[in-house]
Amino acid sequence: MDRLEDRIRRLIVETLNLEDISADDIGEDEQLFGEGLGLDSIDALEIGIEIQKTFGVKIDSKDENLASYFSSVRELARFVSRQQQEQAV
Amino acid sequence: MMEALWSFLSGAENSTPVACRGSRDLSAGALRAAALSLAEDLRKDEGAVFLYCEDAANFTAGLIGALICGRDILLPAHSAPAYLAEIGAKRQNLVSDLSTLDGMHVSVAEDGDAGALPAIPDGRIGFFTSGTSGDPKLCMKAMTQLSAEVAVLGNLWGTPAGAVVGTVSHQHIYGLLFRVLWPLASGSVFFSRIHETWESVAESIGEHGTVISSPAHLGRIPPEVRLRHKPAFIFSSGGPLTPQAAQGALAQFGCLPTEVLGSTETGGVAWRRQVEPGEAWTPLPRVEVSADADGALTVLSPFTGASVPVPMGDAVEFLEDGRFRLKGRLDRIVKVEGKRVSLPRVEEALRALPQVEDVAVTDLPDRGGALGAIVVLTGEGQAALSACGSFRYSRDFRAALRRRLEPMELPRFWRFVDEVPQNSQGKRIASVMRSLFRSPELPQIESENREGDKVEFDLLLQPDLRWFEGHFPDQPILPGVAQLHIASVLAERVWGIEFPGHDMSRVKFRRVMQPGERVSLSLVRRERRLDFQYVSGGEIVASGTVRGLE
Repeated sequence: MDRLEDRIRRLIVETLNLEDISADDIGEDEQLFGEGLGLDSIDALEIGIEIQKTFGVKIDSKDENLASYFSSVRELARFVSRQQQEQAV
Repeated sequence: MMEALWSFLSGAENSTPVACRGSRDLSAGALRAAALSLAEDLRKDEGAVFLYCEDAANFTAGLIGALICGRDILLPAHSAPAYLAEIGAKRQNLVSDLSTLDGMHVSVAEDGDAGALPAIPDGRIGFFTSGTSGDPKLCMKAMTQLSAEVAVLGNLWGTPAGAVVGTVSHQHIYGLLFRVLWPLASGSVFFSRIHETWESVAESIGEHGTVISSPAHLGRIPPEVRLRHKPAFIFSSGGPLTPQAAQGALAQFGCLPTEVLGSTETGGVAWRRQVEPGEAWTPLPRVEVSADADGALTVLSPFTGASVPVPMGDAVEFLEDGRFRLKGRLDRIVKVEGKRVSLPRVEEALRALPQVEDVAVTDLPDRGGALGAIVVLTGEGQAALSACGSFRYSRDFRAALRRRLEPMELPRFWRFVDEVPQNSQGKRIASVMRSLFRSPELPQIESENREGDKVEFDLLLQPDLRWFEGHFPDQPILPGVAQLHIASVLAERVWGIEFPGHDMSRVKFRRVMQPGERVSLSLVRRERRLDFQYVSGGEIVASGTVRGLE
């Protein structure tokens, strides 16, 4: 079974059709936006939609901490597993 | 109004020539006789008449005959039977000069006697154009609109002094106006047969002749063709002439073509002669041009049949003297996620960036309609690209564009190229643009190591590989057929031997390969046989042998 982090890395690469970057190239703690990988807000929208579809979690667009959930692959994985647990309860 | 269009023909002596068929003149009396005779037939029925003639004199007789009876006239663009059936032409309503078509026949003899024509009522005429989908689309015009335009041609360029020769069909509005109605209304003579080749134009053209042509013909003048007489005018319509074609006609025939901008919907709009490449357009008399909110050229004139300005679909830039330049098709407006996006607008925003030398933007229906940008970089841009890689660089571009464009207008896919591809006429073809974004068939080769009959590749299975499409949407894998294909294509590149892949042995696919995975592929050639082995993470994931073609 793949780790959640790996699935998220693949999801990012596939959703955005990152043509010259592979999933392995994305560090788990690498900043996804701005200076790090260099994704932009449109990329964020698309990743958000795909995360919700793939993992069956909800993303509240008014959540003030949203930016921090999306800051890196590791943070995204944490966010997803937390949401999945909450929804399972 | 209609008086002017037909008054010369109606009042001319029976023997006055109005057209030439080859070397023979056709007289006003003969044309009137044919029109009146057809009118007798057409009076027996009602409804629209489809009129298709190869010969423009026969056509004119058919047109007048139908107008006299007050029947609408519809002009098929060509005579293919399936097409005629599709647009509703049948034996009962088709008038033609072709014996192969089932319908009423119209034919102008060389001579004939007929009195003046009865009053010709204003009628309606319909042209079939091909819509954007390629289906025939009918555009109805009042004859008064055509008549108004003929009057303007006469005011602007006078009476054609010599006979008018046409390389374009009178079944279309431009050919009908310039080749037939203008000479007929002004008492000149037109050649009734279409001149498909420049050799035949050279045979026919007399002193002060006028040539009605198109970019397709003017762009293909055989170098050995000479005209005995310098034409008074060469007209071209249907699309802009390349500066090379304009200058080529000047060099060979001594006459710089007069280009007419227009469409079936709008009629004539403007004209120019390309003394300088890309010369601005001058509006025709009685035509008011302006730009609408989208920056599209709009036309208000007696030729459009509309009381409000009609958009042309071209972006326009006005000069102070009232002339204008066209800045690309605005019908290059596409829908991205339901929102209208103008491709020229996106291109303009990109072109304004200092790193951009040239650019083309296209929509990508294969990729959910998202936009793709093809960018030629300046030297400075190329340095920046090699410093940060194309993905990050594309995001820099998006950040810079965000100040001018809305999110939907921002290109999702980027190609940095040495030049924007174009066809031999200098046109950028959407399908060619799109093909640059088509998913690749081969993985990215990160290294290649060849020693005699053995070669090893390090491959990156980039996620946009075509093979990943459709193979389990949730868990895309590289199918066995793709592994074989990749191995044989790379082998063919290395050794020039085809390995078709249907003759294989000992092939084992042990584990799936996934998007983004790095694998090494080793190929060993033994005579006509090829052993392949994919290795990933230290384990063999697939292997086998393929036989090559003898």
